[in-house]
Amino acid sequence: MIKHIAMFRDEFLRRLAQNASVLELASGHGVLSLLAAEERPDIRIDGFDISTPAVAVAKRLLAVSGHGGRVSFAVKDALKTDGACTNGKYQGIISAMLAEHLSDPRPLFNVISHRTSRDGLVFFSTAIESPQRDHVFEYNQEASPPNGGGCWLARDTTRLRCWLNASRHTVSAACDRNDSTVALRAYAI
Amino acid sequence: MDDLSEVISKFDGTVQTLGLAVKSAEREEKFARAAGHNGVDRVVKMGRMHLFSSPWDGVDLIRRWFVSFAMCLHRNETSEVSNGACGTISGGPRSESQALAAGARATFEANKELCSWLLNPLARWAEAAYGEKVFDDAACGYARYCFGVAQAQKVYERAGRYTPEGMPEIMSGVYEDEGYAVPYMWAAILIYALWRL
Repeated sequence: MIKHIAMFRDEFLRRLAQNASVLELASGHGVLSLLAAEERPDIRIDGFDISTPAVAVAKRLLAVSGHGGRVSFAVKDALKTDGACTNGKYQGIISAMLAEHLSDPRPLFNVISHRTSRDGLVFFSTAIESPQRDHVFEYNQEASPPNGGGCWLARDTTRLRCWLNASRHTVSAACDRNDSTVALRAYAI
Repeated sequence: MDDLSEVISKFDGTVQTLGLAVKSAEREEKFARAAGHNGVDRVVKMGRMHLFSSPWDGVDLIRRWFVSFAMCLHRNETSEVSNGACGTISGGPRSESQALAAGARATFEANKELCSWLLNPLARWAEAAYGEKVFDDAACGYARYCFGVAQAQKVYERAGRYTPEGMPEIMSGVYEDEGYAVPYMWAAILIYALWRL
């Protein structure tokens, strides 16, 4: 998982546009958003999560972080992010370890696609094969092509590009891949 | 007051940090020592009073994560604590506990700069928000999570696929259950710094 953080900081946060607005989907504890604010004093971040206790943790950390003016957390379904900032578009979207919690991740990719501005950047990571009580969608088996198998998401980003709406995004090759998780960096074009 | 010594002599234990800019290193050290005698915890260069670094006030915050892990895992191994923060961890025999602690430390040692980028501010925020107990709580949440993942892996290997509960049960039993969700949240952030894979 440490490589995810390297990619999050070096390939995502440090490449965001100046004064970027950022959306974190399923922000949970909120620490990624707070680290983003710590690293980039110029950006603003909205974090949404469906879990009331998780958002309570995030708000408590936010209150002592000194980033209260630029970061906000709210209890909200990550797939129903209406009424966001400028035209509902963000220059940065974080979807870290969320997709595996959804029975069908395609609506998530639709949200990402529709909420990313033309100059936007997406940080996406997911567990490919990592059983947990609340992991529902397993990429290795449920999403692999009929005659394929293996980590299609890491091996071949075509389907992800399709889900993200290929006309507007390019997806880098898997920059951080191992047997159980993947982190991808997607550019809006 | 014309003399800095006079200012420092007025400190009554309520000044936590002092920024100094004195041309003479000898005089600067003298002032710093005097400040320390008057209850100042930190003396740094002028303009750096708010720059966080570890150790902070003489405390290595990152080390505290690992001390908590060690204590938590030890309690788990010996099962001496039945009602403490770690008392409900199950399934972690000694060898697994040792491997967990060793793995976390090894990941940190191999990626110090990056782990510190995450763990230092996290420790600062967590302690300010929840107090010192948070290190134990988070460490135990992390350990419980790791053992839970290990158990889920065994079930997965038998079934050959994920066997999740329904979404309503996951909502009520995971995301909306504070007793489950909060330790889970600590684990969910710590694994970024402590899991190699």
